[in-house]
Amino acid sequence: MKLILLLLIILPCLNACTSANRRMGLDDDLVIDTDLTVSDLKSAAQKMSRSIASSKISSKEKKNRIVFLKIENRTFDDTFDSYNLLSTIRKELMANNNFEFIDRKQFPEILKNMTGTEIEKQKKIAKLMNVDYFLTGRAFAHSIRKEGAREVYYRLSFRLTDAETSGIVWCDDYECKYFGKYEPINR
Amino acid sequence: MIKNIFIILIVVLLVGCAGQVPKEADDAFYMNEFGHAAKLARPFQNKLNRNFALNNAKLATIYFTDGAYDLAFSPLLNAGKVMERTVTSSGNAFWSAVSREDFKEFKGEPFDRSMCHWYRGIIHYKRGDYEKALAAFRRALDADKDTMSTNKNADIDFGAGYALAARCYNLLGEPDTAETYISRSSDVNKKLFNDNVVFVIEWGDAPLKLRDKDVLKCSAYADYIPRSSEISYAKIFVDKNEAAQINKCSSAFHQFSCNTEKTANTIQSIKLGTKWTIRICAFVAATTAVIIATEGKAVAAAPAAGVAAALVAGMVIRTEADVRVWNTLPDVIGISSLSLTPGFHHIAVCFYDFNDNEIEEWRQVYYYYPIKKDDNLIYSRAAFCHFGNFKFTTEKVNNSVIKPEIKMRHYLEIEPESKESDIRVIPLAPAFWKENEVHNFTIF
Repeated sequence: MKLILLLLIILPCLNACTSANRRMGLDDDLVIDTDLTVSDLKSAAQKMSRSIASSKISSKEKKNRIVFLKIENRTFDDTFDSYNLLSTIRKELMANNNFEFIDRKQFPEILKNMTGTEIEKQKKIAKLMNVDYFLTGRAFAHSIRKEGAREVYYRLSFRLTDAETSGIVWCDDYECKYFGKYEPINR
Repeated sequence: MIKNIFIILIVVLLVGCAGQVPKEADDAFYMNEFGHAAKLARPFQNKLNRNFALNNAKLATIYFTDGAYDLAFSPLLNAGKVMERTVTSSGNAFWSAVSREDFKEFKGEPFDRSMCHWYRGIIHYKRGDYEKALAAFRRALDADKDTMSTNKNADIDFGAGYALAARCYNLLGEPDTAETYISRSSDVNKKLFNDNVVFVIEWGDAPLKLRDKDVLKCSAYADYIPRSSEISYAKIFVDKNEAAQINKCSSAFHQFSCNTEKTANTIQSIKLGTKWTIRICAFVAATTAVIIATEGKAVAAAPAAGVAAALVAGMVIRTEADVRVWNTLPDVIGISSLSLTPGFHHIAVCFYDFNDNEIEEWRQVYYYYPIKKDDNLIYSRAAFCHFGNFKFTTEKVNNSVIKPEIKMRHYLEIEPESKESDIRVIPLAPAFWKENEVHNFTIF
C-alpha cells in the first residue's frame, strides 16, 4: 500500500518535471531547427556593417545619409522580420560614426502625397531628404527534402543604391545552411 | 498484488492522456454551427500536449471557414510550426515506439503541413500582402515536396499551391519565376495573370484513417479511406451568367495517399514482429509448462493455457496505429480566374454531380460582392449542407443598441426545406465586409 501511495505521489511530480527557465547567451542556440536563428541575423548584420564600413563609399570627410528600403522576403517564413535585420545593421553602422540614417517611419506619409513610379518617388525622397544611398536587400531560401530530412540554404543579400543614379555601389551577402531530420517515428 | 499492479497501470495510462478537440466540435462544424464548434474547440488551443498541432489546425479550419481570418491565423501558425519542427521531445517518440503509435506528437502527413501554410497564404493574400502570401505558399509547396517528387500523375501534385504562388510572383514583378511556377500547375494557365479575380473553391471532406482489420496485423497499420462526395465539379455564375468551370486542382486523398515510404510503418512492423514473437514464446512456454506440471495428463488443456498466456503476454506491446487526422480539411481544391469589371456583382458557385446535374443545396451565393479593380480572391468552401437556399436581406435599423450610427443591417436568410425546419439567419461576418473595404454598408 505504501508503495502505491509513493507511486501516486511520484508520478504526478514526474509529469510536472520540466527544465527550469533560465537566462541564456544571445549566441547560444539550444534548439537548432531549419529556421534562421538570432545568431544568423546578428552575424549577417555584423558582416554587412563591416563590409559597408570598409567599402569605397565610407568616407571620414562626409557622413553618408542612408535610407532603408525593404528587404524582399523570398524565404519560406511569412513571419520573417526584415526591419529587425535592417535596424541591427543600422546600429552597427552608426557606431562607425560615418553614417547617418533617416527614420523611414516618416515615409508612408510622404509617399502618400507623391505621384509617379516607385523609382521616381525614391528620387524625389532622395532630393527632399538629402539622401545619398538606399539600403535594400533580398532574403532567399531554397530547400531540399528527402525521406523526412530537410536541407535549407539561406542567402541574405544586401545592396546600396546611389540615390541619384540608381547605380549599385555596394553589395554583399551572408549565406548559411541548415539540416533537420524528423525522428523515425515521425517520418 | 494484482490490484496494486492494476492501479499502477491506470496511473501510468492517465499520465499519457492528452486532450483532443471533441467529436461534438466536428459535428457542429459540419452542421455549419461554427460558433458552437469554436466554443468547443477553443479550450484545447493552448494545451501543450501531443495533440497541440491537431487541435490548433482544427480550430483554425472552423475560424477560416466562418470567415474569421484574423482569428484563424494564430492557430494556423502554431500548428504549422509544430508540424514543421524536426526537433521533438524524445519522451513522446519513445512511448510511441513501445506503445500505441498515437502517443507521439501529431505532426501530420506532409500535406497536413502544406495546408497549414496554404491557409495562411490565403489570409496574407486577402490582406494584400503578396510577399508574405508567397512565403507561405512556397512553404506549402516545400512541405509536400518529398511526396510530390515521386509522383508522375499531374492530378496528384499540389497544383493549387503552384497556381497561387505563380500569381504572387507575377504581382510582385517577377514574371519569369511566375511562369516557371504556373507551368507546374497543370490545370491553370497564364490567363491567371491577366484576370483580376481568382476563385479558390474547396469541396468534399478530407479522407479518414482506418486501421487494418486483419487480425494478424493487430491494427498496426492504417490506410486513408476517401469520404464519398457527390460533387464532381463546380461552375461560377456572375450576374446569372455562366462564367467559368472549376475542376479539381488538388485532391487531399491523392496527396495523403502518395506518402507511401514511411519509416513509421517500418517501426510498426518491428513492433508487430516483436508482439508475435512474444506471443509465440508465451504460447510455447505455457503449453510446455502445463504439460510438464501435469506430467502429460492435461495435453488437451495445454494449448488453451498457451493461447491465454500468448494473449496476456501480447498486451505488453501495443501496436495500434495512429489514426489521428485533420478531418475538417476539404478533399478538393479548385482554382479559376475571371476578369470582372469593378463594382458589385452577384456571384454564385454551383456544384454538379457526376451526371452534370446541379446539386442545389450546396450552392453558395454572394450577393453584391464588391470586386476591386486590381486584385480579388474569392474563397468558398462547400463542405457542409446548408439545409436550404440563401436569401440576402438588407433592412433598416431604427435604433441600434450597439452603435447609434448604424442604419442598416445585412444578413443571410436561409429558406427552410420543410416547414419543420428552423429558419436560420446568419448575419454576415464583419470580417467579410472589412476585408473587402465596403464602407457604404454598416454591420452590427
